[in-house]
Amino acid sequence: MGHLFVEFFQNTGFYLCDYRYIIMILIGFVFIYLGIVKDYEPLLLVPIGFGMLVGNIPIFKGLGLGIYETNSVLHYLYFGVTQGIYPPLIFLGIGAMTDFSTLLARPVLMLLGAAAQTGVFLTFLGALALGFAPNEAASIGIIGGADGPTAIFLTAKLAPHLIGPIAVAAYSYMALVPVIQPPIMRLLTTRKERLIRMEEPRVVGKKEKVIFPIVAFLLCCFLAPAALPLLGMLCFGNLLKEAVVTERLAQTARTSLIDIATILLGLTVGASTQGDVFLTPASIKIFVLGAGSFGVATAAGPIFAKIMNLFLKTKINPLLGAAGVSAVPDSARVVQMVGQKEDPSNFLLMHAMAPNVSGVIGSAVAAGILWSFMA
Amino acid sequence: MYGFDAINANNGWSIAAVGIIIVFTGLVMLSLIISQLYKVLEFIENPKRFEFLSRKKGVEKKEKYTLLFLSKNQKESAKQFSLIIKTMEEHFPLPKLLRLAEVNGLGEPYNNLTTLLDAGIVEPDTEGYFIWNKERFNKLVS
Amino acid sequence: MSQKKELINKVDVFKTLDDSVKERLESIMEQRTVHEGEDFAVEGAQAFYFFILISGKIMLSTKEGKAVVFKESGDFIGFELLSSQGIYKTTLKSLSEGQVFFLDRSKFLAMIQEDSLMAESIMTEWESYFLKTAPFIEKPGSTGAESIY
Repeated sequence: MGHLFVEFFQNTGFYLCDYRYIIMILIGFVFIYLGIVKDYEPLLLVPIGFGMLVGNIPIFKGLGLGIYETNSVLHYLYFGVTQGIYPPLIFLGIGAMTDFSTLLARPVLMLLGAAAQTGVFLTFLGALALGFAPNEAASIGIIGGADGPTAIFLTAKLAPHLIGPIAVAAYSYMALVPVIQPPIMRLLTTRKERLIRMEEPRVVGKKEKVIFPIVAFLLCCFLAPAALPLLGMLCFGNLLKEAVVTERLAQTARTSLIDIATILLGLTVGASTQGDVFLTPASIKIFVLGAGSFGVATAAGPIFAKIMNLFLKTKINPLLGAAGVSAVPDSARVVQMVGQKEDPSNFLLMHAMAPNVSGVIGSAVAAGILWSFMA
Repeated sequence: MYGFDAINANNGWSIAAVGIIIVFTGLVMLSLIISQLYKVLEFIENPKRFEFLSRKKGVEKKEKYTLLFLSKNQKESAKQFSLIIKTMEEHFPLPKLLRLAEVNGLGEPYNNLTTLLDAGIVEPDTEGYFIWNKERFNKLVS
Repeated sequence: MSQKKELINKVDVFKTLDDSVKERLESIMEQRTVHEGEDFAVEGAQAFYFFILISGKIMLSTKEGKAVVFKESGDFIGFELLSSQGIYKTTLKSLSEGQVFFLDRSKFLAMIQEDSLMAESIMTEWESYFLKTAPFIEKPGSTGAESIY
């Protein structure tokens, strides 16, 4: 009987555990804490954080429990990540909940979304310099797009072995938008610039809103066909929303469907961070590069906005540039917050949504380009 | 391989440069198209506007007003309102204008104020205040 | 189609709701005539109703004098939707004789609280409409869009 107890004990997590699992479980706690207590991206950090707990229960290999065991339930669910199924579904939902009105009212702000993608390509260079293979470097670079589904999608296509660290890095930095962005924004702008008020945007017609997703889809996908899975779904979702007659479908896409995809994606990405495969020097490099990428992407927007101001008759508030990273709508909220610290009656939120949503398009195009170069 | 050697060996500079250029090209083209989209739609919906476009500026504003002509009484009332306006700041509160019209004994202040709003002589600014459109006033009243 | 239903379909804030919800909305709407110069909601007073304009012209104003004039049939006037205190934050004055649907505030809030999805949909549409209609009165604290990245 004693022998049975010993055998059982040897199969428990307590016996199989090592420090790496403990570290990852602690990181999982941090994610859950940030999500629930600090309200940083709770819809993502809570599933990912709990997924980290799930993935870091030390298990006896061969029982078909771990996410990397081919016959496990988690492995089947993870299929949606490794095959790039969940990100397009999430993009469908995002499209169905995004209002492109402010972008349509002032298209010039779209350039700020493009400028922020500079971070993606500079980080790609940085990752190459640190010894990553080109496909890995491309996946790491896309962290600067501040777009979780895009980062996961591209990594699944180019460097599936890095999905865990890249997804965790991307979502961590996105959750920390309110912490990371403000100092960079203040550093790159003068008080006078932060006080600039934006002109009221014109009213956008219904037809424009309906035509936009079709035009955006055709143009961007003709230019970068590899952006099709993400942009196609984003634009389709937006068309469902704006067409009104398909409101039922839009409602499903922006509620149940995106929620299901987010739960499955968050949980399995979290579970993929098994201590023994996650805690590697490469992961640490990815985190460092990701931070750099995010910082550069944030900085590129305000700098580009300042350059635009040299040519524009009506100046734009350079803070808006920081919303070019596509963490929707958090980076737009940060712009509002930083702007209102200087002038509480200056409302930039609505204007910041324009570069913010164009950042979504920009990062999807950037991912498509990188994919086509590396494929 | 690390550093610049790794970047050079993997054609990194070219990929980054071309990537940035393509992203910018795509979004610049898209922004150019959507900046013209509403004009095209407006033209399709109101082809008659085409003839106005070739005329002098300002004419295009005409259609947004629901009242294009004022009667003699309405003109007289507009003139009385214009006298009150002279005592007010450029961006004035609408309730204040209404109150002053009542205090000054203008006839049918509500009715006449809505006339001015419909005619575009009194227009909202973007901050919740209203402005007196002199050009519109001169055109309809003078 | 009844006038109530027709009006509800015109209101941006309600357009995404299911037909069954729209029917329930109809049941809490009451049509009233407002007269020229009548203040039918006063800033600071207890808020009992939201409003949908049928006809006429309504001036919405704040104490500092900011104002917006509603004149389109289907304009929704409910600037207290985001206020938990149930106090009118603006004064509504009728600039002409007109017809207005009065929506019972407490019944309306109870109704949307039954269904969080519906409440979210209404609030999202409302914020968007709010920003378009009278951004200067009071800004909502969020965009309404949940963080999904």
